[in-house]
Parts: sequence; structure tokens; C-alpha cells
Amino acid sequence: MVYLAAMNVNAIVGGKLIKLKLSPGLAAAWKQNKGRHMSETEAVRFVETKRREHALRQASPYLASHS
Amino acid sequence: MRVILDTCVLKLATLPNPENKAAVIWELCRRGRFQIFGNPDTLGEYHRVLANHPLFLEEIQAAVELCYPFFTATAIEHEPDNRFLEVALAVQADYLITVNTARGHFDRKSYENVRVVTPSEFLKQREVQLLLADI
Repeated sequence: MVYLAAMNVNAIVGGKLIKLKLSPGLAAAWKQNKGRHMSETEAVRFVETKRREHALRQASPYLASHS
Repeated sequence: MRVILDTCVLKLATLPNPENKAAVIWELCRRGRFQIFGNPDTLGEYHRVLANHPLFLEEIQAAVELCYPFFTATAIEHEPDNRFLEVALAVQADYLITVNTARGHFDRKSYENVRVVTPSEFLKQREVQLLLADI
């Protein structure tokens, strides 16, 4: 019950606090990531790591045939 | 309003924090307050980065309007970022939202008429404040 109360995100508009209820998908992601933190730099690094992995997967047939 | 979301913004949205600005942007989008666009490449990247959040991915997939740019952008030094720029230019987006404004990435304030903003800057835009006030 306590956790359900946290399934909102706040925005301040003209000094007024607005609470937005999360979509089911984002609420599930928040539940899954409970206790986790990530800075903007870490998020960028995370994406770059995924990009590198993808690029390597795509290049693997070429790399295999040229090794 | 037409918007492009860099993958790192969606990644940040998944982290629980009531002050999460990326999540606010997503919630505005989900409520149809603006349109988000992507192409098969950017959508593919969303899938790879957010693979462990299938429900969120379903929502993203439903919200993103796909486009197929007929040109290749080269303005950004870091090549993969150009896929997002291609979409932004093709749909004449108003904003490209990213946290990756480091040199060699989205390091300009704008590309043609597409403004590059962080989530925090985006939420401070007058037109976005009006959308929020309307909820």
C-alpha cells in the first residue's frame, strides 16, 4: 500500500505541485527498479554499452570470417 | 508538438523517483499531449535498452509514430545519434530531448528548427507548462 502511493510523479507548474499517476508499464518498471539510482551520465553510459554490444553482434560474422 | 526522445531519457524514466522529469515527459506523451516519433532503428534501440521492461516497451511502441527518413544525417560526430536526428529532421520535430549534450553528441542547441533540450529544460518551456497546467 505504501508502495502504491509512490506510483506518482510530480511536476511543478507555476509554483503548484501536480501529481501524475504512472502508466502501468512505467509503474511496473519502477517496481522492478525499486532502490536503484542512476545519474544522467550513467544512463548515457548504459545506452552506449548496449549500442556497442549490438554493433559487435552485427559485426561478428565479418569478424569471424576475417580472423 | 512533435518530439523525439533519446533512449537515455526513457531509461531514466524507469528509475523510481517522484521528481523524475523524464517520467513526467513520458506521462505527458502517454496522455496524448504531444506526439513522439521514431524509426525502426530508434525503436530497435529502445527495445535493446529497455528489454527488461516489456510492459513499458509495449506502451512506447503504441505511442511512437514511425517514420522512414530517406536521407542519412551526418551532423553528429557520434554516428548512432544521427538516427535520432534523421527522425527529428524528417518529421520537423519541435524538440529532441536528451541528456547527452556532451561534445560529439547532441552538442548544438538546435539542428535546423529542431531544438535540443534536456528533460528539465523541456519542462520549463512555456508551451509545456501550459500542457501540464491543463492536466
